[in-house]
Amino acid sequence: MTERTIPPATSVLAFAGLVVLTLGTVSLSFLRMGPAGHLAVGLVIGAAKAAIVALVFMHLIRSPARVWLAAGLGLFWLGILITLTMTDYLARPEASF
Amino acid sequence: MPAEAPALAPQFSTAEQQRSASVLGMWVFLATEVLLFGSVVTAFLATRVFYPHDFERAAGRLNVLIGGVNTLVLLASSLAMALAVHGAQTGHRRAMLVCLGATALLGLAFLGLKGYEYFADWRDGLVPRTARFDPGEVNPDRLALFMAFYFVLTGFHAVHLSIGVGLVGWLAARTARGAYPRAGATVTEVIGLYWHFVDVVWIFLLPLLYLSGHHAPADLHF
Repeated sequence: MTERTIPPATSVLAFAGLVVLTLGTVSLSFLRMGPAGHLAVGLVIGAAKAAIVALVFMHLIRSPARVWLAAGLGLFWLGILITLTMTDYLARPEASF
Repeated sequence: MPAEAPALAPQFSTAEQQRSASVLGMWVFLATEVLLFGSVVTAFLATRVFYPHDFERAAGRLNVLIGGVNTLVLLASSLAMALAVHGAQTGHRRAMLVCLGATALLGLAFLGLKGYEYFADWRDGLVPRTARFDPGEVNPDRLALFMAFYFVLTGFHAVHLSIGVGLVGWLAARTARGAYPRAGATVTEVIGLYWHFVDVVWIFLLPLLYLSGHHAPADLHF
């Protein structure tokens, strides 16, 4: 029986990191970065926060390979969807970011 | 094997196999949820390609104070849920119940703030087709398009969160009545995965909807 749990201290530390990243990302929106800048910065920080939630809270760090596979496949599918859709739209003459 | 371990279903040879099958099953389900939210997000990104400045200005009209506070509320609820899972796995029923209660309460707080935010959006002229709709310097059709994405994405999210609150409440009730001391570790873990996923969705909705536009600190209001 795997009773290897994530210790509470680790969860609290992860939460602290998430709060810092949230305050940071909201503060950055007070700068003027243009539409592309705002979106890029926000999504990069969002990805970092999601990684913390997935690795620590969702126990990915302690999970076997098959769970990584399931999580990875979902992300991979989304990656294909966004990449192929955006390469179409961004190639259109009236498009801009 | 502790006395309160869950009954072994016939298709599994060990309890550990049963537990890890449940966890894997939830991850596969969450992958399908990625399909749901992912497609709406992709549509949003593709649409934004044509109106980046209008969408940037529209995003700047959203209430980032409530959005930001709600993000912190939801992150705290994920911490509470993670601690509840830990309590279940170590057999501390009381700690588990307290943490489940905190999770549900924080989830309800998010929903309450969200409901108030929808009212504030209407009051501030952001809801299309209402008498108060006030596009300001944004093209009205494009603001309406942005707000449609906003309501669909945050609405889907709120529905998922409500389901999560229901699940957590159900689990807390069953645990309080003595059904799930350590035997509930797998159920708790699986519900926890769902809850954290709903949190991850919001983690992306914040930059996509709110933070993709410039906000002025002076504009922060309730």
